[in-house]
Amino acid sequence: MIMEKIELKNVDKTIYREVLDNGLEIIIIPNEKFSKKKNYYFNYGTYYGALNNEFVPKGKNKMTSFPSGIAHFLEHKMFESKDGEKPFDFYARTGSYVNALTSYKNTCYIVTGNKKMKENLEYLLTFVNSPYFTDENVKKEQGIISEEAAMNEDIPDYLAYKTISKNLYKLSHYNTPILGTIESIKSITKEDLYNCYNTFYRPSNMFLVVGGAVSPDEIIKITTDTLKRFSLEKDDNIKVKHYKEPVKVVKEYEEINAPVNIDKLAIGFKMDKDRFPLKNKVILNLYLNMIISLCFGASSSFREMVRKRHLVSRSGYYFQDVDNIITFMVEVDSLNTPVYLKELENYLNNLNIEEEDLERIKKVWISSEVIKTDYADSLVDSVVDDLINYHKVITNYVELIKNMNITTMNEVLRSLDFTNKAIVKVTNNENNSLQSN
Amino acid sequence: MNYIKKDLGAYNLHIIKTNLYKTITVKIFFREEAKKENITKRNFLNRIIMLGSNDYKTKVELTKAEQDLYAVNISCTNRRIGNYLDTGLSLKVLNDKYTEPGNFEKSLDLLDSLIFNPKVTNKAFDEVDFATVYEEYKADLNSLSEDKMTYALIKGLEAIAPNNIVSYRGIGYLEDLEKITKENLYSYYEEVIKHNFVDIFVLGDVEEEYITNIFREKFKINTFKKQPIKALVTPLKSSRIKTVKEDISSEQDNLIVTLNLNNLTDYERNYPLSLYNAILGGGSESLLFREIREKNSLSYYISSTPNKLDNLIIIRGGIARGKSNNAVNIIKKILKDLENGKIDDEQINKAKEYYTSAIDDIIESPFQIIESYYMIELLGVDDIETKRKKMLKVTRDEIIALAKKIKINTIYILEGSDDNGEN
Repeated sequence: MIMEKIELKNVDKTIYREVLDNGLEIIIIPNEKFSKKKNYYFNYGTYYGALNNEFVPKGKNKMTSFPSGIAHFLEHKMFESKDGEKPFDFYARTGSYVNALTSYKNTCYIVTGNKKMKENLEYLLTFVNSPYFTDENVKKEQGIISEEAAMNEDIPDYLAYKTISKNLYKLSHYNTPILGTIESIKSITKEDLYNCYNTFYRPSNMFLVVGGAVSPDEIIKITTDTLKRFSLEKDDNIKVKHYKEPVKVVKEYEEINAPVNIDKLAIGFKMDKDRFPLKNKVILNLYLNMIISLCFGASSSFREMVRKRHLVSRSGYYFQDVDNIITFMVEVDSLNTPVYLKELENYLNNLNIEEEDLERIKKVWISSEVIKTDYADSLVDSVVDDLINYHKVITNYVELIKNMNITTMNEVLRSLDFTNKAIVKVTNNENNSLQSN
Repeated sequence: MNYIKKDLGAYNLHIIKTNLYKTITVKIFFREEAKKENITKRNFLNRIIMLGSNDYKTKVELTKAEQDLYAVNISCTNRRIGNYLDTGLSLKVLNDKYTEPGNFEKSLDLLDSLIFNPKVTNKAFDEVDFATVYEEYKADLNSLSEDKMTYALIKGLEAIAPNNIVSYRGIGYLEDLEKITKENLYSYYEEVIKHNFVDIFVLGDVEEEYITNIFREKFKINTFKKQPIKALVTPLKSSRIKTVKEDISSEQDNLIVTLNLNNLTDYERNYPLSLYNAILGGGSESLLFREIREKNSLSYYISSTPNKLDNLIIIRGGIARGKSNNAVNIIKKILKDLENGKIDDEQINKAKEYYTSAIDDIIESPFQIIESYYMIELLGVDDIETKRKKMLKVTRDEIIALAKKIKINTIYILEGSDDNGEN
C-alpha cells in the first residue's frame, strides 16, 4: 500500500493520506520521532449535519423531509449497542475519552487516549458502523435531549442566536437550532434514524483523521481490517435538496422579553457571496477573518472606543458562510443600545485597513501556524475543519497568509454590504419599566 | 524533561527544560491568604493591569506590541486554592529559534512592564481604565443569574455556610466592587507586590544560567519573607442535611448537592478520594451519569468534582423541571450503596485507568506540566511517578472506608418556573 505523503509547507510537518477502496478518506498526523508524548486523537466523521434535512433516503427514490434536530439525535443514539458494552463503558475501561458532536455540516466521533490504541480505534470504527435503534431507546433519548435543549433555552445568548438565525434565513436550515425544537425531537422515530444513518454514514461520505503517538501504517491496517467486517461499498450517490437562500433577511427587528439584567443584541448583516471578488473559498475566508481581527479585535480602535464609552461589556464579531450567502454577525452585551448601534453603523460604513496592520497580523498568524504543530489535537481539529469546509486538507496556509496583500484586502472591503440587516434584542421589560418610572 | 528549583531570595525560580515545545512558557504565581474582602479587588486588579502600562498607554498599543513580538500571549487568572487566593500570570511565545534573537527577552520586558509599571499617577490607577473595568465588571456581576449553572453553583455553596471560606464567590461581590476606588486599588496592588508569596516557572528549550540571570535582572521583587499558611481548609462540622430551594424563571432545575469529607487522612485525600469520585460522578461511566441520565432520563449533564482542600465533593446537574427530588433520592441511594461496599473491581479498575491516563496527559500541555510542579511546591504532594504507583495500589477496602466518611451537607435546588418566561 502506498500512502500519499504530504508536507505541510514552512512548518516542518509531514502528514499522510490514504483513500480506502470503500471510499473512506484517512488523514494521519503522527508526532515527531523524538516526541515522548503518548496521547493520540481520533476523529471519525460524516459529512452529515443539521443542514441535511431533506434528501432521498438510501434505497428509496422520493425526496423526503425529516424532523429538525435528527442529525444530533442520531449522534446520541450511536452510543447504544445491541448487546454487551456501550461506548461510554468501553472507553472508561480503557482509560480513554469518547465524545461526539454535531454541527450544521457534519457529525464527528472523537476518541482521545494514551493507551490501548489498537482496541480503541477498532472499537470506534465498530460502534459507529453498528446502529441499534429501538422504540424504547429512542424514547429514553427524547427525555435526555429535551433537557439538553432546556439547558440551552436557559442561556440568553442562545435565545438571541436562535432568534437571529430564524430571522436571517428563510430556506437554509441554519434557521433552526442544531438540536431541533422540543416538538421536532419528540416526533423522531427509529425508522427516521435508520433512513438518515443508511444514507449518510457510508465510508465514501466519511473521513478518519488521526494524530499524535501513532504510526501511519498501523492505522491503515487496523482500519482496513476492522471495516472488512462490515459490508461497506463505495457509493457516492447521495441526493440532498439544495436551496438558494434569498439575500433579503426574513425579519428586520425582534425584541424578546427575558429575565436578563443586561441587554443582549444579535445582529446579522446578510450579503450575496457573488459580490466578492475572490472565488477561492479558502482565500476569501482568510481575508474575512483578517477583517475581524483588524477591525474588531483587541488592536482595533473601535473595540477600545466602545469599551471606554461603556457601550458594551462583552462583544463578539464573525462571518458566517452559508452557501450563497456571507453574513457578518455581531453578538454583544449592550450597556447603551441606541448609541452602540449608531456607532457600529457609522464604523461599518467607513471600514479601513492600513498595510502595516495587515502585515503585523500576518506575522501573528504565521506564528500560530508554527505553534499549532506542537499540539496534535490542534492539528487534528484544523484538518477536520478543512475537510468540513473545503473537502480537502489545506497544506500551504503559511504561503497563503504570506501572499495576502492590501490591494486584495481593499477589494474585499469594498465588496462588503451592510444595508441588509436583522437585529434581535433580548431585554427585560420589567427592568425597563422600572427604570422609566 | 529536566527540572531545577532555585531560591532567588524573594521567590523561587523553577526551570523545566524540555524540547517538547517550540514555545517558551512562563508562569508567575502570586498568592496570599484568602480573605473575602480581597477577592473582588484582586479580580479588578487582574483586569486593569491587562489594559496597559506606562509603556503601553492603551489596550490597542499593548496588543500591537504583543503582535509585533510574534504574537506573545499574555493572560492572567485568579482562583482560590484552599486557604490561598492565587493569581497566575502567563506568557507564551515562540522560542527565539523560530523568531529572532532577543524576542523572548523583549516579551519578558513587556510582561515586566504590565506587572511593575502600571498606569498609576499620585498613587491611583488611571481614571479611564478604572472606569472601563468598573463598568464591565459590574455588568458581569449584574448578569450572574443569567448563567443558571454558575449561579446555582454559587448559591449552592453559599447555602452551606454563608461566611465560610468554602462559600466564597470566585467571581467577586457587587457590594465590594462599589467600595473599590482607584486609590485603594493601588494600595492593594502595592500590598500584593510587596507581601505575596511568589513562584516563577519557565518551561521550554532554555539554558538554566541564561534564564536565571535575566530573571535576577528583571524581576526584582522584594517580598518580605513570611511563614506559609496551611492550604487545607478546616473541615465543616457535620450536622443534619440542609435543604434550600429557590425559584427562578427557567426551563430546568439546577441541582447542587455538597458532600462533607469528614476527618480524611492526607493519604485518603490524595488517593482513595480521586477513585471514589471517579466512580461516583467523574465521567460518563459513573454512577450518577448512569442512574440519573441513562436509566432515568432526568438530566443531560450530571457530575461530581472533589474540592479536596475544602473537604467537599460537589455534585452538579441540570434536572428536568420539577424532578429534582427524584434525582436527590437516587443520589442518596448511590451514596448509601457506596458506603455499604457496593463497589466492584471493574469500577475500581476503570477509575484507575482514568487516573493513569490523566497522568500521561500532563505532558501534552506546558501549562499542565507547570501546574503539576506548582502543586508539589504548594501542597507537598507526591511527584507524578509516585502518584501513579500509589494510586494503582489503592484497595477496595480503602475506598469503602472513605465512603463511610462522606455525608451530604446541603441540597440546593434552583427550581425552574414559568414566571417571566419568554414571549
